[in-house]
Amino acid sequence: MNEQEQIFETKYNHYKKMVFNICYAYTRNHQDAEDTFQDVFMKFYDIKKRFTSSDHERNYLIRITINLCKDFLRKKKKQNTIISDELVHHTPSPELKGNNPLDMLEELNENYRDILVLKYIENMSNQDISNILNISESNVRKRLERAIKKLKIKWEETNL
Amino acid sequence: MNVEQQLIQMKYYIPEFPNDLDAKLMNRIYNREIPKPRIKPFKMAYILMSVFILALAVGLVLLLDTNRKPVIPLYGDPIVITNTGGSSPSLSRIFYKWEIEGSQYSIEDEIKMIVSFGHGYHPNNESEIKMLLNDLKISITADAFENIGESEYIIKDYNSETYFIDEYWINNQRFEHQVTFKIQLKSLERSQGEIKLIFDNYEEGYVTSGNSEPPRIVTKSVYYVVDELGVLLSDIEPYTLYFKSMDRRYDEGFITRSQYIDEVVPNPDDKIIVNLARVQITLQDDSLQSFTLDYVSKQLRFSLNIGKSYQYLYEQFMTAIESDGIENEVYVKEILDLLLDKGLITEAQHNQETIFLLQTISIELKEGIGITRSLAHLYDKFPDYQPPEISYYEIK
Repeated sequence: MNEQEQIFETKYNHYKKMVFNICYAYTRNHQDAEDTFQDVFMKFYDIKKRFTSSDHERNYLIRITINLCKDFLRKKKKQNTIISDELVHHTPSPELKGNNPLDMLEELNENYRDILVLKYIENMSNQDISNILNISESNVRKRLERAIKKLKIKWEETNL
Repeated sequence: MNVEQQLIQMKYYIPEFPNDLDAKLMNRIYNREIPKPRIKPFKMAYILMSVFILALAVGLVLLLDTNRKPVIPLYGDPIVITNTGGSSPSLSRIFYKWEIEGSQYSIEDEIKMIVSFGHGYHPNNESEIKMLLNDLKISITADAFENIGESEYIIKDYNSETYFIDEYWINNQRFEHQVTFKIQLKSLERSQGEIKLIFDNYEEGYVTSGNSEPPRIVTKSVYYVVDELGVLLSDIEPYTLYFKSMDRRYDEGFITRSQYIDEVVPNPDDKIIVNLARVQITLQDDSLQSFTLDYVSKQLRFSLNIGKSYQYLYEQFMTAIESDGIENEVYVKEILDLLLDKGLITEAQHNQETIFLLQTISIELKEGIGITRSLAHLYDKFPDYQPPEISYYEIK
């Protein structure tokens, strides 16, 4: 194993759970999460970027993860649309069934979903979230409030 | 369970990290085939275009570079080599003279060299000349140059009238024939070249009559002044009188080789040379008006009329510069400023105009040289000055 591979594996072991969690939160499917997870680290392995700090590196990796997850979901949605057009029934993943709170994320648009994943899956502070998503902290707070508010409305509608 | 509680619970619904995922990923990373980068057609077009532009730029640079004007040395012009001596006819029965015409050449110009040969003393008749010369072969080799015309002449038909020109030369009739060689500088990569003239196949016993045999091979190293500004400024007030005089005196044996080098080959100590040379021949007039200031340094070489106004000098400079299509106003001002800074000239007011005067150079008459000049050893004041590169004759 050469030096580059050693460095990579050290980082991989440090970040792999975080990345997998985010991937699963977005895809809510074990196989899809694994595929996206691999794409993230393939990309991370290839980049030649120099990071100024470990926070910088982590934030960069999270942004890659979120972007690839969104790309994956868009592609999947497109594929599902084509399959629906061909009158083939789409069977949702078993995990989407039942009372999985992750299903709530599907009710929100991407902006709110990003914040909730980072806040409640990765337990990040508003400041970290603002750095990763490149928005202000107050914006993070507002989005968080609105996301929760939307979910509450949805939850109330469902339980009426 | 309310919404907040459900959000907090989300992370517990994420499954454990799959055990086999590490292996899958590593296998995928380390065993993948790295596709060879393909050059897309439009990228190839960019590359070709870049190469073309680069070639065009190089071509332009080379083209512009050829506009620089190398010149035959400014000292002692034109080049003349002869075995006949200066003031009296040679005792040699064969004489030759080799002349390089002109003083300045651009790279496109032909350099014309005329070789004259003939019977130099007591010419009698054609048969004698024929006997002396046999089949005379004259050839030329010139590194750094290429021949435009013939590089070799074999003279056989001495009976042809076209070969002989009756001339009177210092009270002696002689027969003379001329052949002309034309050469051209190959490139400006070289600023000097050796031209070798070879006479062959004449009877040695008849060549001399008391004198030693004149050399059959004559070599001249020609140095080119490629300093454009130096050439330009020299054009304004060309001064060759002094050096011509020194050439003549050396040719005629009045001064030794070392004296000649001391006097003519400047800059033995890599210093600035400042000469004062008389423009007018009359020795009685020793006013500064009749002298030129000659300045030789690494970068430039020029003459200034002393006592002329700044405006005059400036206009002279600018006329020459404009005529050559070069806008070099800044450079010219720098020259004048340089002279002022070094105290070689000083400003003064005369008839309500600013003039430049030499303040520190004394005039020294040198007996026998025929002109008045002085060497101002002012260069000792400039120890930090970089060594000049002066073009000069190579003394054989």
